[in-house]
Amino acid sequence: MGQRGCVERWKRELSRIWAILGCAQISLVAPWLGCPLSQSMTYDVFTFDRTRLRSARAALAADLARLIMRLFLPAVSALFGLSASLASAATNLPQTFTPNDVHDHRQGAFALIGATVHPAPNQPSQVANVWLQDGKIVALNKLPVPAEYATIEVEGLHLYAGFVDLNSGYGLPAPAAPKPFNYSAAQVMDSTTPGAFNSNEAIRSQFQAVDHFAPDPDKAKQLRQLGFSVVLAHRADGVARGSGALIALLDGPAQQAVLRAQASAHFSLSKGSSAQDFPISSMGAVALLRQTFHDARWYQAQSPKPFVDRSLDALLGNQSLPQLMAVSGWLDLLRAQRVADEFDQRWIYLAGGDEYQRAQTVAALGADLVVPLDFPKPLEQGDPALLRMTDLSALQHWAHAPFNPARLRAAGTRIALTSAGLEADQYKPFWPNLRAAMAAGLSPDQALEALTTAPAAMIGAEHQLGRIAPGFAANLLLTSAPIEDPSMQIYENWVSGQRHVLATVEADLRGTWELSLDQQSYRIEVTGSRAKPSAKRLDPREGESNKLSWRQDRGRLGIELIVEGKPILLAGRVRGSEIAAVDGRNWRLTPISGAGQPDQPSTIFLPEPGPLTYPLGAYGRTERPAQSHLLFRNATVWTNESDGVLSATDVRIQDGKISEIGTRLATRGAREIDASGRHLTAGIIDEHSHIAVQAINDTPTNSAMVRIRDSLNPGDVDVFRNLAGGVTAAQILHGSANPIGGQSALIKLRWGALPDQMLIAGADGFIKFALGENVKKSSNSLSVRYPNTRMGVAQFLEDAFSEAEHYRDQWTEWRRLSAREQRSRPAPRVDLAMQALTEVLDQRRFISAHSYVQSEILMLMRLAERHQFRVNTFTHILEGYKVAERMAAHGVGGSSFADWWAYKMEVIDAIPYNNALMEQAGVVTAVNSDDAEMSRRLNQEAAKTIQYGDLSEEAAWKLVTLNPARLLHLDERMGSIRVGKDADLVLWSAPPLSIAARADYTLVDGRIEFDREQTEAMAGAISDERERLIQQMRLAKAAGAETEKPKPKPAQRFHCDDLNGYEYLGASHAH
Amino acid sequence: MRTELNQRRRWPQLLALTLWACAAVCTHAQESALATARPTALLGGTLHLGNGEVIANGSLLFDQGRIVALGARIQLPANAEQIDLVGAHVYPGLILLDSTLGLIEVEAVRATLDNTEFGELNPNVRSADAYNVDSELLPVTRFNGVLSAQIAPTGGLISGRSSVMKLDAWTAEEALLRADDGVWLNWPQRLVTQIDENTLEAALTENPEYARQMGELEDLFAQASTYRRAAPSPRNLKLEALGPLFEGTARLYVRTDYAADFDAAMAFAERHQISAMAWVGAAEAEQLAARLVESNIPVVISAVHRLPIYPDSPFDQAYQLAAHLHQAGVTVALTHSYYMNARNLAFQAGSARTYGVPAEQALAMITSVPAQLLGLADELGTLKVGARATLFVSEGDVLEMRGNRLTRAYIDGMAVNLQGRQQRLYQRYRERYQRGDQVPATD
Repeated sequence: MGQRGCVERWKRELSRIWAILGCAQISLVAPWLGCPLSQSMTYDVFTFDRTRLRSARAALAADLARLIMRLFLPAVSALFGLSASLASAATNLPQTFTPNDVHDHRQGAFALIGATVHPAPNQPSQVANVWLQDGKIVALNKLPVPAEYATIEVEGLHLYAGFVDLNSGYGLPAPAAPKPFNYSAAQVMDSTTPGAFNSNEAIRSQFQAVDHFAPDPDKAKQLRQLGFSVVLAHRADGVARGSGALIALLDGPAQQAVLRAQASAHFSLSKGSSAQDFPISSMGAVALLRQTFHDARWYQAQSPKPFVDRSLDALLGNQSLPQLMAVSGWLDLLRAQRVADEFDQRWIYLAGGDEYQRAQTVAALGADLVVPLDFPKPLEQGDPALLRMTDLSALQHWAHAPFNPARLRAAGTRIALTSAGLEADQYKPFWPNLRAAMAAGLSPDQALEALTTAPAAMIGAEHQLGRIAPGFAANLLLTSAPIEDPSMQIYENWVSGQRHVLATVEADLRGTWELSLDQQSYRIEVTGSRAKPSAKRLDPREGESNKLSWRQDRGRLGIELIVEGKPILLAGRVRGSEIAAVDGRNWRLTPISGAGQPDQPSTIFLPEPGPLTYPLGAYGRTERPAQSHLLFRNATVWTNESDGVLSATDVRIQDGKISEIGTRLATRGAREIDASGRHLTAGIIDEHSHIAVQAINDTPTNSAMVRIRDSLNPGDVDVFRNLAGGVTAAQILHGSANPIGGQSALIKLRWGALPDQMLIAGADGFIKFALGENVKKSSNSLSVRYPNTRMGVAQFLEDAFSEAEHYRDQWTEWRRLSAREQRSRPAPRVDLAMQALTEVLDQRRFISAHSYVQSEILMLMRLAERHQFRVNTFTHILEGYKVAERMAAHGVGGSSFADWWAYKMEVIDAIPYNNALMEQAGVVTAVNSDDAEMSRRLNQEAAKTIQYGDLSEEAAWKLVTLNPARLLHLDERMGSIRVGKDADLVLWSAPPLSIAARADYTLVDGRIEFDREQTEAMAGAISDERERLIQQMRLAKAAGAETEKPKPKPAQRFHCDDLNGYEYLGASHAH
Repeated sequence: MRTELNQRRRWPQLLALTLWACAAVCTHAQESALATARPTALLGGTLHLGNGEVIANGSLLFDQGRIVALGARIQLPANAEQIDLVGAHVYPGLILLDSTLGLIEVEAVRATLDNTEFGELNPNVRSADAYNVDSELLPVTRFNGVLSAQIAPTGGLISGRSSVMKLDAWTAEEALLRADDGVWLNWPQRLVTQIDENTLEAALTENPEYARQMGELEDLFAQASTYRRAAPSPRNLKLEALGPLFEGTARLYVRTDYAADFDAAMAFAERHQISAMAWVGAAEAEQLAARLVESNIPVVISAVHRLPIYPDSPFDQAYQLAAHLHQAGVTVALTHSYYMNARNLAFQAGSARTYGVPAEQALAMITSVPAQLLGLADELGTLKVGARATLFVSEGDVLEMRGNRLTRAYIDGMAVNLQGRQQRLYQRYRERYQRGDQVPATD
């Protein structure tokens, strides 16, 4: 076909388009004119319209496509080439079967004329025409529109690129509900998933969202109404969740909606619906994920593969995709980041919503965050008891949450916004919350970026999605106003060139009108919502109904009323507040009252959040205390050194260390604390503590790969309460559910610090072991887990260490190979549990073994001796007094309760003299807590050894200071008052072992972490802040915010064989 | 094995016999109180009367199980055994409220649990029918000065009836100080913990059973009130058991920590014309202090050594509660319900004292106030003429770990052997180490 023929054809096609559009126009009016109306009848002219357009497109499709491709230059083709990786939605699906209809090929060429186009965030808007074809944007200009484009006049309206949501379960089957773990049920130790998949069924990398995707028209409609045109859909189930698919929110078959079949790989730290016990905690999930990444590397290196693992195959196959990690909040995020750092993983975080608490820390990671808008609602206040149960931190979170996006962005994090979490509310809070986030400081450009270019770029679709530019997907939002305008309404959402009309562009005609018609006048009241107004006659004549039909549609007005039994149909046109008849009849509407009032945009109530404290909740601080230069004057100093107890002595603290001890020390600019009549001691060190954690137990018999470090929660108020009791450092132990428990975290009580900042730098590694009733699962009559006896525990441990020796040998052998040999022979599999045990064998990690009765104590010492290592500490060790000399000979310490007993069979012979007997036999002995209440008065517990066993006060005092420091290998730095040691100190109001003693000051690293006077003064401030926030919630409610019932969390407290520590479980006395 | 020998003279002999095999079978036989044959005079100690008063350098004489004289100077009968107490302290025996001693032996072993009956409404069950006078817990608890206890069932809505027991006796009947002194009501929980199926997060939500449980309580008490007047046949054990509450001869003990609950409980008691009640647990008692004073309702603080009720409560809330209530004029008793460490009762009072309760008043909270609650004010809890000679001598301040060191204890004037199995084990192993027995060989 020559050029001339082509132009001829073009003209002809243009006229056809106009004809079709005209038909559509007429069809809008036709129903009103032609059909009698009834009040209950509804019209969807757009359905009609679309149907007509669709058939029009069908008639045009094939040749128009060819024409336009020729007319619109090779450049267009080049642009199309750019987007080749995105399947084109508007391209009709090649059918591999005979359609149950005639073929219906269409091109979908439209031009939106005259809108204010916002091509991308931070780019100036311009009035321009947007040409679409084939699901793509073809041009953005002010040129005349070629005839083959169906034009749509959108003058005065705004166009934005459609939004992209990276955290969606759209079109995927909901994951099965997770099963709560139950300590009283039979254990599930193996995977229950059929198929050659990973041995842990929380590793579900084989799951491909694309294989399970089915379009969900209702959900798609809901999401389009928010402004989304594309979602990244994945199934939120498992630690490794498989791949996500990039999906356009089209009405159409799955094959057409899927833009990228394998768009992303997904992870979390929650096992989801897996029926297998491990992992029940997020620290267990970290261990599983780390092991899985090691396994994947190892598996990849194997040739031939020693076995088939389709999960690892898939995990490896997805490695080059964007990697998304779902986290529950900032703590989880930092935990996941450690895994990322270890394995050079770059996570895009599906964030939890509380990251504002640590915005700078998060920003420093340089990671992208997909941030939810599911802000908490203000709480109902009808039930004061329920409200009182709600912690201050939850009230604060409510007030701070809307600031999350803005604070993250301001700190420098690239964020995307997601609708996730709003499903339950049918997404209604999305825009109000987005507006709240903007009111809280997220600029309109930042918001737009977070909904368009940022998510597109995060998943490598920055050349296809998120902008209005040639070559980009024809994802367009047609809005009434710029998005920052609170009254902004989305009229249309175009998805890959598919038009979806969400709302009509109607004037607000609510109010009272006088209708003059044929010398008669009728009073009409228009009420209801702006989008769906309804009307009635106010003055029906006798025998007449007050019913009246009132339809507004794209500037057209149709009125039907019945006068003297006959229907009267009127058609008019609305321009602004002017209404003119278009039906040739002489009628007029005159406003009487209220008519033409614009909708009042609902006001956004932004709470006054108050200061951000570390942590949130009671006793949080806006900043960490400084390391000050302090001088304690005239104290009675319990040195724990050969000097014993010194009276009237001064102690100087500088740079976090004890710098001088003496009498009449010069002030030298120090802040002086008058310690006359008071007692200065080293801080209490709790050898056995479970505070400051989110979980303490996982389930595998050998849990050596689990790290308490991955469970730390520095915001636990018990940290502060322990400081108030003079505790400055603690070993946070794994629980006692397993013979080999997890790795300890040795922390200092640095209140308000980050989890890793609580760790004692340079401290040795420790690990929990456990013996006896807990690991035998004696309280679970349904248990099927080996071991069931102390005999079995011994065999299990013997086996574990034999395996560890074998493991060590394998690695030693491999490491001895030359570099060349190593290349040809893959490294042995990394086994994190075995690695930890080899550290024990090499005396680089030290055991703290939960133990009670003498048989098991002796067993473990013999076992250690056979494997040439030493057990570091027996904890609990209530029968230690029976084998104290044997313990001394082995060189193991004992860390025990002062007087606990009788709670189970294995503690029947526990006696409160145990500590004194062990101490006197030469065992390094400590008194520990295992209990968040008792830990804050360990001084009293130590004093019980005076009552039971006649220890001297100095010896008793060492049981909670120097001795635990020795057991934890920290005695060079802590545990006594000596120049050069860490300034971890307590100033007591009375002799420290007296029940009258209260900690007046507690210092950690020379920082005053607790100051009693100051703290007592805070009590009022805490309740005032509660009241203020509750008042803010009342204001929010008054401003129209929806409220929700308080769902307070029960207090969590751990003892060593607790699962989740919720107090209701009645496990509070199991140890 | 019962002899008329003074127990104090016997125990050194017993120590010589402390063989493990014996320890398993020797229970109270060696340790039980034995009546002193003649009047006993404790001379020259500090007498802490339990009612807030102290007699420095005082003396006390008891005979036939009763205190017959006390003061700075007392007349001694010629045959009195005179015990010189210089520097030591005399206290009335501490009284432990709301205890499961003798009902629980080993918490983890179901066979040893006699504290919770099946069902929600058990006013008829009686701790006196199950109290194990030979429990190994008793000597351990006596060791620190607790000589009487109110033994109360637990669980359900109405757990049952408590009785007051001596902590040393040959039989449960001999131990009985007062039968069925109280009915124990666990106020229905308004909130329960629910686990979200999807997130596995726990949250407190309204107890769906609350209305039903309240209805059952209302109905039970209404019918019990009628039953008392009409005495229909056949008997109804549950209704019958509640009768004394309406007579004012038994106290209704309501266990809850929450002010809203106890507020409802007070209205409940008023509706059913129950005159004697007490609030047990009572973490939020400060909120109702004025009304508690006005209605003369005592509070039993279930532990001073416990964590604050809410995460954002003042960090020392539990420590200060007794002082705050005392300052407001509320009648306060302290207890330490958890059975294994009931021996730390004195230290609850010690901590209350540290946090503001006047010293002797802190003692009263575990002596005279509990006695008053139990209707035994003339019998126990105060050193006074006519009261039972249930008392002890401590080398130091009994509210202090460093001072709590009992040298003698008497129940109804009979000397109590303070040395229990724990002491025997201690001696046994201490002697072993002193002898330098061989360290077991390693393999």
